[in-house]
Amino acid sequence: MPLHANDSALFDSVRPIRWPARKKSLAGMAGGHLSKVLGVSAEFTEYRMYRQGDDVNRIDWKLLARSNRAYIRLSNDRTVMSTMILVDASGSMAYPADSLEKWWFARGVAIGLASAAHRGADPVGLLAATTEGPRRLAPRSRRGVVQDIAIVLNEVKPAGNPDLAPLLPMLRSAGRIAIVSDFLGDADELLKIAGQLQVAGREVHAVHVMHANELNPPRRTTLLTDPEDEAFKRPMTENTRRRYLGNFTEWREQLARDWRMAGAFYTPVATDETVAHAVRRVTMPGADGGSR
Amino acid sequence: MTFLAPGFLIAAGLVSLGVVVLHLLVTQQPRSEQLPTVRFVPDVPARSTSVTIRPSDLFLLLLRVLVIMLIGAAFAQPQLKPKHQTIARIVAIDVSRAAANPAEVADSARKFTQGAAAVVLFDSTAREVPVASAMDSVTAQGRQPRAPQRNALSAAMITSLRAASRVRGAADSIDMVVVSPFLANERDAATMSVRSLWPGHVHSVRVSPVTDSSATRANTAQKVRVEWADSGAATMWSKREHVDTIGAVRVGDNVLVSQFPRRWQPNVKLDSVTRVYARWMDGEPAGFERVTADGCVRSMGVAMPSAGDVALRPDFIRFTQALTAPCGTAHDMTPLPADFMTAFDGPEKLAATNTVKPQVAHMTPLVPWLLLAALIISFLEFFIRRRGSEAESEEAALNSLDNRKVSGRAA
Repeated sequence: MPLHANDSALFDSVRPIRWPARKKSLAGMAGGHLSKVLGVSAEFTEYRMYRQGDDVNRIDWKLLARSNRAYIRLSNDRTVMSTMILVDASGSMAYPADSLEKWWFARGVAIGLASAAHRGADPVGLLAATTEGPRRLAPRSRRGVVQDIAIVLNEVKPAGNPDLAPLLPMLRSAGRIAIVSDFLGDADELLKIAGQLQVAGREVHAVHVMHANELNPPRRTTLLTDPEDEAFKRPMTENTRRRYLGNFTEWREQLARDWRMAGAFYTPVATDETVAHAVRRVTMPGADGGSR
Repeated sequence: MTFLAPGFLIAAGLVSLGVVVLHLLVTQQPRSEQLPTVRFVPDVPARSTSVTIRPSDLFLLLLRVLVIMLIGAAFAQPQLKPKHQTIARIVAIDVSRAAANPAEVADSARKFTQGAAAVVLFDSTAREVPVASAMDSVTAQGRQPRAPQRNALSAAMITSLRAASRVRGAADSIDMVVVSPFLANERDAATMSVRSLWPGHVHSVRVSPVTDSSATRANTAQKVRVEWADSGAATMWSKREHVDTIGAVRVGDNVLVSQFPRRWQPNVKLDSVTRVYARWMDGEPAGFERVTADGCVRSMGVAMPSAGDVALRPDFIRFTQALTAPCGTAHDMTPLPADFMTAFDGPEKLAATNTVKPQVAHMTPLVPWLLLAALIISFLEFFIRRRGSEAESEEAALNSLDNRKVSGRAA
């Protein structure tokens, strides 16, 4: 299946966006992100006393001549950060049923994040949780990988209730993991595994995708059904709408607290904003809602 | 089938129409939509009301309309086989002693009672008797000598009016016939007022009045004996549980005003030989007159006051004279004048039945059956509703089970 007709405009809108790492990455190939390892690049950082075993070529001989003490020069190392994007393709993302606006928005955010990572020369890959099984694209930094991700996501039809948590350990090799989901499925298990990955040094982003109607349901009396379970029905009246807004807000605040307590970066995005704006809020440090 | 009060049937039809309109207002679940975050909506029952072209719950609607129409039909008083006539006749027959010859009364009555819709016999009181046995009653009454009484004509007219209200659905016009000697003692102040309630002609059949002078003043030459309950003659009295005081006692037209201690209460059954002779000012009997073989006995439950000047007053003298007056009651046995009879007969046209007020309080034999049927059918609605609610409960239980599954999965 080819790219979607609007993908060109999407690529153009997210092209300027970069996605700097918010924490020092592990050792790896030379790239644009600060590494935890202090290396031998030209960018001087500090001196350190020579210790037995250090490479004698790194001794600053001029400083030794002046002070009669052996120091070695240290510099910041920069590496690439492999980025994997986990996309939730459950039935709750297929809303509204006729336009799938929520899914297309989530897809756009995923592609935008991939593009932002790829613009930093980072390998970027995809893992989509579908009812037919996970659709995986291994992280690549070659040109065209973002288009590949877009094509794969174009082929995915959100349906059912696939679990995300079992897929998360598959992304252990990635330095940065972005979870694009509405967290209406196995959110607790997902949070638990994401916390473990964060402790293991991974940068975990939780991108909470919501439809505008979920944040502000229409003021009309309707019988609401769950897209993932047609038998689950609740009435939406003016009274229940007020209580719904209270319940939903409380749940979102609790979700944000839980993810941030787990060390992840939680960013709520909604369909009433542009994809580029949502991607920018996820990728820009200190942007509203994107901080820990 | 005809209805004596068709207005109720029309009202029932209007109410049924309202029920049909209510059934067009359908209370149903609102329009269904999807929302992924529906789990945060509280689970409360919700219904919305909308107007539809086709009525809902057709069987229930049918039951309700049936119940309403049955109740309406019951109050409309249907008659399955109306014996509709052009003219319905109501015959009022004077069986008192005012008529000289009971056989003449019977002969006059016989001509009118055949095919009559109702027959009323009257003397001092009036009562409706079955048409089939009316002549037997007339004959039997004629054999029993009765003292002349008053106020009989008014009572006869009132009873005839009631009968006319009942039979108004069976004819186009009503002919009222009164067989009586029409003596002066049968008229009272209310007679013409009651007569004016009848909108048509009254056919007066005059029979020969009594000419016996003994009828005008019965037992006038006989012995009068007055006994006092306070003196031990308490066969017609019993002691009051609570003695009270009352301010006046009346005998005929004589009123004696004083503070009378009231120690006795009546303990006698009125019959053809016993009548109330004196009354307290609150209407309670204060004395009785009983006809005896040689005259009459007047038993007084009045305790004369022991203090004061009551015994010296002229009204006391009149009171005692009234107590010793001859037995019986004076009656004016002169025939009623022609101008009265002309006014009593009224217009020449018979009363049209639509001018006679219906007797809505009366129930025709079909009424209880219709009401019973309405009651039984209304019970059916409970069973139907119960069956429906059981089905809804099962569905709600299934939904609740599903909800728990979903909530558990979400948790």
